[in-house]
Amino acid sequence: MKHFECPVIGRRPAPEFICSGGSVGILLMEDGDAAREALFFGDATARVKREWWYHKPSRLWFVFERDTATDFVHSIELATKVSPDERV
Amino acid sequence: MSLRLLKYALNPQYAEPRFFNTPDAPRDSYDVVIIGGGGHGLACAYHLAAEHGIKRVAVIERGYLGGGNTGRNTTIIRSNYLTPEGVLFYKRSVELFESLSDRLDLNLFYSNRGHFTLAHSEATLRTMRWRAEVNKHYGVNSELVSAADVKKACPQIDLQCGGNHPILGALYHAPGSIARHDAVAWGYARRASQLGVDIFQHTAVTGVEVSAGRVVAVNTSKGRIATGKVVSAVAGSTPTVLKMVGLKSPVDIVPLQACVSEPMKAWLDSIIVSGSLHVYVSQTARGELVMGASVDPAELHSTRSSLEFVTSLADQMLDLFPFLAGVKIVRQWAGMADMTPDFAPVMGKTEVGGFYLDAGWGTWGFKATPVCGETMAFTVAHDTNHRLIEAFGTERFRRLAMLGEKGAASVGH
Repeated sequence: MKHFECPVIGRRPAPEFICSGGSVGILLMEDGDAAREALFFGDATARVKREWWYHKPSRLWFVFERDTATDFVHSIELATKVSPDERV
Repeated sequence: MSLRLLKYALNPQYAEPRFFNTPDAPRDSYDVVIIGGGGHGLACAYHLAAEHGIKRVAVIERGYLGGGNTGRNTTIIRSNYLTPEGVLFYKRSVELFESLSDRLDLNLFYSNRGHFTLAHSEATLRTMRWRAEVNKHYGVNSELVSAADVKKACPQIDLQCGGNHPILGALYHAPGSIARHDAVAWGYARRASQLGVDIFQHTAVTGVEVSAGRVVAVNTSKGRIATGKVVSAVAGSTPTVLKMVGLKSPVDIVPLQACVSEPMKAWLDSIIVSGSLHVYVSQTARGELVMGASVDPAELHSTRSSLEFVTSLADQMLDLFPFLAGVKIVRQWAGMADMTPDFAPVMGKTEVGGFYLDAGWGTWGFKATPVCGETMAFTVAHDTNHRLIEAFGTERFRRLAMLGEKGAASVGH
């Protein structure tokens, strides 16, 4: 079975996690057009992206940096580390 | 093989012509360039040539014909969708499918089986009543049936599902069918080629030239092709092609896996789908069980298959059919599904003049092949969205006018 090496909770089986996808950052809702644009349109080509992952047993949210061409996970960090200035 | 068959096979008098012409290099210009030689692109080429008199058409395929999602799906054809737009669209597709073997003069092994979507909860039954009523309203044959009806059509099923999630009833859709998917692509390719369409396999599109907001040319590994109209029908490569014309993507790419069992004696006539168990299964004319599940858990641009998929699918299948425990899986594969947020396609004209999109086919594209060919060809020929695809434009996301097909398009999301 596939496992993830997490710096916080150690080596865990992949099915314990749920990929919530999306883009990491704060979505500003003041400008409706820009928010819709950010929600529904983006770069969806193969790339290294930062995305939200949820670990069910520990109920912790993480940010994975993952290559969507190879499925290789470059880094895992706690979602609380995300800067409040990071924008979607 | 009988000697008589061998005699005909080797006799040059009965030489079977190639299915389609394979010119060495494209011409300098075409009226329409279609990117993607799957069922959708080839059907569009056929309809352009056959119904709109547009025969200077090139189909550009990076791999081989039908080698993408056309040849990777589980071949189910049905029209029991949830939204009025979806029901009318897929209803037309099933109509076209029913006479497609005649039209293409090729036996597609179109086989009408009847399609059961199982309900394991009261909530699912409610959605099914809703689907049945929408279907009936638009003239599509769907009805809610009891668990006993399921057992009658498929005596091998365990209605208790091992006691974990008993079957309470099902949505029965009599027109549900299967067909040979590769034959669909090849049949369209042959007809299109006979009408003058040029098909290029192993030819990569490297860029699309846009000038003053309009498409002017397509660059390929076999040279530049000047054209005023480009159709993108590339499923998992949609974000890449959209980037070439400077458009952002409303679809994400997620692998969808499937597998087949070793051949068995014919026992399963119906198509059985369970949203709660995340599985669907039918039996081919060769006796193999074709089985699929929900998409992989995360975005990925790859056609790799995984052991996790096949073990979890087997686990669920055995709840439905415990007697399959000793049956072997012989092949598994994956396709790159272009998923939209609302599980409906994105089709038609775009912000770039002369650039037409046929995408967002996620896990529901094969059954739409003929109607996509018909409606996209109309849209390209008239530069006006066909009425059946008016609701499928990308601008619906900006207006938040979603077409919620999640409950009817696929399983387990």
